[in-house]
Amino acid sequence: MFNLPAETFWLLVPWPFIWLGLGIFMYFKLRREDIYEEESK
Amino acid sequence: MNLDMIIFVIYMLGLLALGISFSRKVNKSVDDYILGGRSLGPAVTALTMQSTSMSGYMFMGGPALAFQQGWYAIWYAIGDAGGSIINLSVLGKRMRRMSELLGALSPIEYLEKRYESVAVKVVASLISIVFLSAYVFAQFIAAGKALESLTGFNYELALILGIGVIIAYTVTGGYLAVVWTDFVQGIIMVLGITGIMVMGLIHIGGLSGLNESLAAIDPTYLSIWGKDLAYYGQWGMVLGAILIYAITYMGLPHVVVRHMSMKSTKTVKGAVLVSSIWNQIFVFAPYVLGFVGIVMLPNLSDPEMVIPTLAYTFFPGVIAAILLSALMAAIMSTSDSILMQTGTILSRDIYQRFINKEASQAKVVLVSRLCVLAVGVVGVIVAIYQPPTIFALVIFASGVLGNSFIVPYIASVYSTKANKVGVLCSMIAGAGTNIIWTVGALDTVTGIHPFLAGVIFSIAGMLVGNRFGNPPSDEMQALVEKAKGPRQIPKNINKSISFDLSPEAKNISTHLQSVRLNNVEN
Repeated sequence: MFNLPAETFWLLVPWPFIWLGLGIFMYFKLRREDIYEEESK
Repeated sequence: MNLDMIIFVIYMLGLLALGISFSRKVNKSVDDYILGGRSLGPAVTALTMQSTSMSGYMFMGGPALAFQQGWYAIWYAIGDAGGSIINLSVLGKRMRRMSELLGALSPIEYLEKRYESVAVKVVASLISIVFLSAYVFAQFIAAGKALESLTGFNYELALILGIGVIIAYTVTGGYLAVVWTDFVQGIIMVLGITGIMVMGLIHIGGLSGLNESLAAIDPTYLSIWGKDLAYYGQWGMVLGAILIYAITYMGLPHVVVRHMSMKSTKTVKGAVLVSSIWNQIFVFAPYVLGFVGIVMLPNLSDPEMVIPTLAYTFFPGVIAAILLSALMAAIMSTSDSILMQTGTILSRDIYQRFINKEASQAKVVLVSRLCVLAVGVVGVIVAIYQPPTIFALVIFASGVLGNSFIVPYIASVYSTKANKVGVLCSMIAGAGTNIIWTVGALDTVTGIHPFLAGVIFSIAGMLVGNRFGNPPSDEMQALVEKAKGPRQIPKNINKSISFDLSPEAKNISTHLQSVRLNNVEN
């Protein structure tokens, strides 16, 4: 894939997608916390 | 004057005007000048945090590493790409709450108040001033080298002109000028670098064509272990390379201050999302351009000039002007934040705390401005006489700062027991380890990155130190608990509580009903 050795491809290339996924997950987690904080007030 | 120079000069003047336009707003109070009145929304917080974090290193040091080591350099980019998500998720909300509860305006004042110790402030101020200065000097050298190479000015003149603009708007506009110019520069940086990367990849046959050409020159460029497999099997070096940018930002005073200046804790979620998208677009591009340089510029003598040389050799004109603007944006957005922070530490944490406790707000603002000016001037002089490599200086300075402050900042909002002895041991052990490891080149002997060694010793220092000295006061422990925010009970526990209480509730209800019936009958 992209003429990279398999080791390089699988250890390095997925990371941007992992970080983006984590960013989206954290957005929804923090939004849920915000809603809970509002309700608990 | 060429078209590229005209575009660049307009860009610099635009930034200057934007920065100076904030001068009226920030003259009211120290809070406004130093922290922008805690008024920043998610997009501005995200972009100022990221453009501050991504320095001239991204346009010069990072591509140089990629040019020398091939795909191994991507380990550094991987950590960098996730740095803001980790930073905002771990510290964001808690530090925003805690800084307001403590009434702290600077990250060093924050440490002093949280750990209830003047000694903490003195040690933290010393480390900050020395290594933030080293960091900003590296940025100045980058600015001088870039402008000298691209505009044809001599190094000294280029340095004075480039840095003069940064100092002018930072001194006059304060924190708000810094964050809003950072916001604009964050957009210019991402557009500039992705534009050049797309042009470069098209020129070379895409990512597949690039890797094919790299393999033809030297197959080890495609390895995760570096050119000639220099780091083969050294997972300690790889882990350190990832961690240095994944977690260092939590220890850089000029970055963590962004948590303190957010409008509210609700700003964090938007900032996480914006910064995670911006990072994935921006962070990998400079390294890919370093690879392009291996193929297209085989005789390049100074690897740190790989991106500017690529732009000016193969894409002259408007593209080169955009590149120059983007490169200067990266340098300026970091330099202004560090200058601002150094000025804040000197004025608020040293002048107002130890020299003139009764100083008026106007006087503190004036001293802060003078300190920014003084550090800027000293920086220019140092950059003229001592130009070391940017990569080495940035890695060293950011590593020492990170090793000194990551553990103290995290412990400040997660541990009620973390005390002043612990934080002093942590700061000194972290900074000392990084310095000894780097100066003694212990990484080559142990296979462990200086940053990783510093983190380990810093954590150990905190754990051991906390066993000595008095625990934090009850008030401080209560504040830490408050800064953690309301606790959400997990759903399964909530369900169990309802289940456990239901028979009791039923009995009470039956009893009340029988009492009411008896009353009616009587």
